[in-house]
Amino acid sequence: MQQGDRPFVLADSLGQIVAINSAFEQAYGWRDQQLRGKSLSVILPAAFQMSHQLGFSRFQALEISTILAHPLRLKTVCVDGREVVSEHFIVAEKIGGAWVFGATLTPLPDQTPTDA
Amino acid sequence: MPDTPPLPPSHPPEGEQGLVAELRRTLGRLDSALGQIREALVLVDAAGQVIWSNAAFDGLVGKRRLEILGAGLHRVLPLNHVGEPILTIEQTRGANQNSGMLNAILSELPLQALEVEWHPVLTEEPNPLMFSFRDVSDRLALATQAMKCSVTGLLNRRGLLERIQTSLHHLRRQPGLVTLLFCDLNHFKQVNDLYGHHVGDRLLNRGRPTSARKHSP
Repeated sequence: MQQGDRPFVLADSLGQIVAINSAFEQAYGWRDQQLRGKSLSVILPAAFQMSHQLGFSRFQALEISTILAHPLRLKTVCVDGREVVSEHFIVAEKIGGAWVFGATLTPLPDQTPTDA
Repeated sequence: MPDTPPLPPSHPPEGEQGLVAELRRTLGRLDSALGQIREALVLVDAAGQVIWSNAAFDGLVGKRRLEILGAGLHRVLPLNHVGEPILTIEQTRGANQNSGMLNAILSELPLQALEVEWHPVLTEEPNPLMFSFRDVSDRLALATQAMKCSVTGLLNRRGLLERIQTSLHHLRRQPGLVTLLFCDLNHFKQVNDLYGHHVGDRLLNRGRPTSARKHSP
């Protein structure tokens, strides 16, 4: 995924960004060093951040999610503050007792409605 | 008595990362608990945009969480029984430091009523607002029953005064017509005296306006 041509972001069990690939950098303008160690909520619109943090926390407590492993059309915040509608496909895997989260993001045309 | 060793913490501290993980689990439990309760809860930011809701709220408005987040609360809420918004845009905007409460009737038949309550959340400036929505249909149905005549089902004196007050209030917000139909049955007492109250009751039921008969339970 990290070598692929589809934007990809990897996060650790706390929801901190571990890596993005170069396709992600090109699509949204962020550089890897700007996002590494930051919360995933940085790339989400402000109105989604609280719900994201609580949803992430709920997953930590229950290990049940309603958003994993199916496509979601959501807005992604670019480095310049623009919000781009993208199709997010998020997966989670437990590695060595800790969850790791990966998501591919596909930017969609401007007029595409979001699930939000 | 032997010394009891202290219980190990359920999640041993692992520095800052361990603390964050524990806080996340705590928040997750709280969020999950709020998701289980029957009361619909929603938090809006200073612009009146939804930033959090529980499952009961999602059910109330009939939308998925992702459809609600970021939307204006007044646009998400169902309209009342006369097609007006339950809350004004101003009422749903944060930065409002006043608490409030109101009742909203979503439909008359069957009666579906909500008690809406809101409070400022003083965590930041401008402050968010937390709204709660309680189903008070049963409570209101009982109160409505107390405002009706047990024989005819028409409004009694208390109900009539309440209805006039509501209609005049509605008229002030939206100009239109309020119609009051006055009926007087002459010499009705003689019917009761001659034939008994059960016949008088039947006569009253025959004499009530057709539309009221149609709409009375």
